[in-house]
Amino acid sequence: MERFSMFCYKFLGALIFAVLIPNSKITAQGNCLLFEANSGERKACELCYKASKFRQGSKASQLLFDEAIKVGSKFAYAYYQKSVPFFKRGMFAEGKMLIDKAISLEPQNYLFYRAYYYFYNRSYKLCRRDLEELYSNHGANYVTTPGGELEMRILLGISYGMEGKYNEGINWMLNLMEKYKALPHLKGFYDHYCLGRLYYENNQTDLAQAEFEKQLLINDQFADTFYYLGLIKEKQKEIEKATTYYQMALDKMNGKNGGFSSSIFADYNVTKDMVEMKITEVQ
Amino acid sequence: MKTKFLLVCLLPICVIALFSCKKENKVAGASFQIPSYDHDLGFIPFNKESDNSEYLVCDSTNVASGRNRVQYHGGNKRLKQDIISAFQFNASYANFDGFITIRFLVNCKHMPGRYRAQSLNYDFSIAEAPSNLLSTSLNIIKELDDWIVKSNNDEPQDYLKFINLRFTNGKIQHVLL
Repeated sequence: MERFSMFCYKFLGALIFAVLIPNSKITAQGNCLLFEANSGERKACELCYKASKFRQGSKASQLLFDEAIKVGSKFAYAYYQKSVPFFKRGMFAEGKMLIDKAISLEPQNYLFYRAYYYFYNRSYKLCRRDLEELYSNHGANYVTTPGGELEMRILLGISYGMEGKYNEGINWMLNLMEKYKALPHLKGFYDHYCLGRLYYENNQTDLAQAEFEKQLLINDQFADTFYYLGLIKEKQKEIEKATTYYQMALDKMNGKNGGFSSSIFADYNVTKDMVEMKITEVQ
Repeated sequence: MKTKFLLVCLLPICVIALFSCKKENKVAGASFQIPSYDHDLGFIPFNKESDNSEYLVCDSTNVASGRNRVQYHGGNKRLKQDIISAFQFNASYANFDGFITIRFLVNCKHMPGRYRAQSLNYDFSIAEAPSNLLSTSLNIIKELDDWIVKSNNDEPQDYLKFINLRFTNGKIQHVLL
């Protein structure tokens, strides 16, 4: 009986490693040992590790990814990694071909990457399609842009905003905020600002102001928040306060006392020209 | 008792494992052609049909391709203005919704060359641009010669730059850098 129990324990352990873990959602390369020895996936995974030692986009790394795809045609990570330097160098057709393959194998892990490039190339409808599939069909929990600046629901919210569907965008942002209740440490640098933007565009000025004020608690050096607080004050006919906010936005855009702006919001970016124009208008 | 407990644990796991194995994603088709090049992706090799044979590159294995490494004198604002003001709409372009992506090198002597252009649909699949839109767009970019490079060291280096023109109804909607 003792031997049978031991067998059961061993079987349980082997089952978890051999079946359950490889079937779970692995976004990073992960441990090649999780794949069966001598399998195509194991060989492909090891080749990808080798490729990562060379400069991204170099001939050496690309040839290793090619080999990885040949020996392990089901190993999605190889297609994804090979696509990255193509996208970064403006070779979008080739990049798409590769990321489409990765998505066909593991949509839950790679839809975000295609959506990211659709977003920054202003194809908002396509971005929306990929991200809705990611969150609604694949139950993604928390996925960021490749650089980690924004959670992908922010891109989804802005994409809706760009199509004038503000309520849908706000709902996705609220869905994200709901996630943060259990995981507050994951809250990003610009989340309240983006929700505030959508409220503002949707003429929900009070809610917008509340979000911009929350944003100031996260970071009070981000110029764009001050620009929108200025717009709200101008709407409320408080011109003096509006002027102060616009001037603060401009100072921060010029880097005064550690101020900064950011161009990661695509068509939702605030430019120095916009701020300067407002300052001229209110004077 | 202990054995019974183990069997109770094993049964649902086996069922889950069985279903996990059956839920297989679509496999990459055998017809898939891997885009493969015999050079670094940042490099654009010489093409005698389109390139100037006197245009040289210092090191094809060390082409810098960071987005801000090649800049335009007067900044992105002037670059966008120069492109948009040089573009002349033609009625034959009106049905084109997509991108024209232009890639080129700025060599170690800070000279631009080896221009390549491709037309794409919004989903990045290859598209056919109407009449001469591809060459018109290419010529606009070729006319720009006020490039400056941001070098990290004193060593002369070659750079790759790309500009993505987004068209809606045949007009430039965005110059994406």
